[in-house]
Order: sequence, then C-alpha cells, then structure tokens
Amino acid sequence: MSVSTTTASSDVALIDLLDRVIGGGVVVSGDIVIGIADVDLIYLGLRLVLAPAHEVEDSVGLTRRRSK
Amino acid sequence: MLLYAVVPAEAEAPALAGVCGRELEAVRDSEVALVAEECERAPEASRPMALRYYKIVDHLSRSATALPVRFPTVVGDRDEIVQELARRAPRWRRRLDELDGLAELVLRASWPDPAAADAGQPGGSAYLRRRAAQVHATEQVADDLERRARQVCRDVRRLPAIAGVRLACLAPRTAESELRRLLDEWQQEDAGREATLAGPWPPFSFVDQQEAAAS
Repeated sequence: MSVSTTTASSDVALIDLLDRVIGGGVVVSGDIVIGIADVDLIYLGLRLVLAPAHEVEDSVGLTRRRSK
Repeated sequence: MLLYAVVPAEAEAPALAGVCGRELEAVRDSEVALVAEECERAPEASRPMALRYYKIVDHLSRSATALPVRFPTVVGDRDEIVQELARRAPRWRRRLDELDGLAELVLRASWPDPAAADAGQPGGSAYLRRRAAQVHATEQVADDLERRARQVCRDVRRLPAIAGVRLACLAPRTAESELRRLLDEWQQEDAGREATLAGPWPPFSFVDQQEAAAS
C-alpha cells in the first residue's frame, strides 16, 4: 500500500493545513479577535491563547465533538 | 488591519479580494513588505475564513517567498505595521532568503499499538506499563522517521499529535515525490503502518527559528 491519497487522507490534510494556519506562522504583537454571535472576544498575547483545537482539548480534557 | 504575510520588498500585493472583501496592500520597508487588508472588524477564526486566508497566502507564496502571519492577526492601523517592520525587517529579510524555494510538507504516521495485547489487564500499574510502551514506541518511530526525512528535508520539526507522529518537513517543492517514496518504504517494512503526506504549503512551521522552536 502506498502513502495515502484517499478522501480520508484529504480530510487529514485539511486538518493539518488548518492546524498550521492557526498554529504556525509569524507571531506579530497584534490582537486576535474571535467573534462569536457578533460579540468580539479580544485576546492579548496570542502565543498563549491561540492554539490548535487538539492542544486545547488535550489540556482541558474536552471531548472532540461539540454541540452548537 | 488583517495581516497575511511578509514578502520581499519588491513583491506586489496580488489583485485579489481579501478575507474582508477589500483590496490587499503591501506596506513596505526597504527590505520587506507586509501584505495586509483594511478590515472594519477582525474576521472570525473559523474554517472558511482560515481557508480564504490560506488561499491568499498560497497565491503570494507562488510568486515570491512568503512568511505567513499566524491567522487571524489584526493590528490597529498602518502605523503599527510600519513600527513592526522597523523592528523586525532585517530578521525577516534573512529568513526570506533562507527559505527561498522551500515549502512545508507535513507527514503523519501511525502503527499498531505495541501494548494492545495487554489492554485487557486491569490495574494502575498495568496501565502505566502500557503507556510507557506507547510513549517509548512513539519516540522510536519519531526518531526513525525524522532520520529518514532528513535525507530530503532541510529542516524537520515535530508537531503535536493526539496519536502517532507528526513531522513538519522543510524541503523544495520538487522533493515531495522523494519524501513519498521514503514514507512508502517505512510503511512496507511492517504490517499495520500507515503514513500520509500533506502539502506543499508555505512554510508555516519554519517562519522564524526562535518562534518555531517556542511554538
């Protein structure tokens, strides 16, 4: 079997991409604003707050499925 | 203003609408430029927005070396960008030169649980033995894969993973097929091994030596 190129692996690739988009990249000392239902939650010190979901879930013991 | 990427000073902002629907602009220093977009409010950190941001950064990286900025990063105005450029332009310029022609690939690997046969044994000490075996196996696989990956990758970083191993590889875009061949070899050496390769992408995990090591 060769290195995976299936639909499932496409999903994994998308997860990895999103993980890198919000977990990698240059950290500039700006603000990160996460809006939920038109309410802005403003975070300072983005290195401390913005992390891929699995890291946060691991650290606080959340399940991987959330209800809206 | 929403920040996208650091690019060489001579690079142009692409004629694309940004995440907020506005034109992109390049705020320049003598050495580098920061591509940004005027946004009335910060975009939400959702999957569709992150993908729109990514498409722009990917477009930028195909015409010039780009250091993507972590999404979503917003600064108050152009003056803040100018200040940031004044402070960090020489370091960014050096990193742009170092990353010229290189991209990021992410490989994932999983394998059968070495302690699966003991999974039914009750008790805390049995659990700890299973966990120790799993951690040991993970370290061994990570070391092995990193050694193999370094045959084609200029740099390798270990990424957090819930299970298995995840490595970010910095390599020329043309190295993808060679890396895939190395992973095929690893996969075929033992039953139950699985590997996936994603990318090439702009070098999100390698933008800055100090930042990457700390993140």
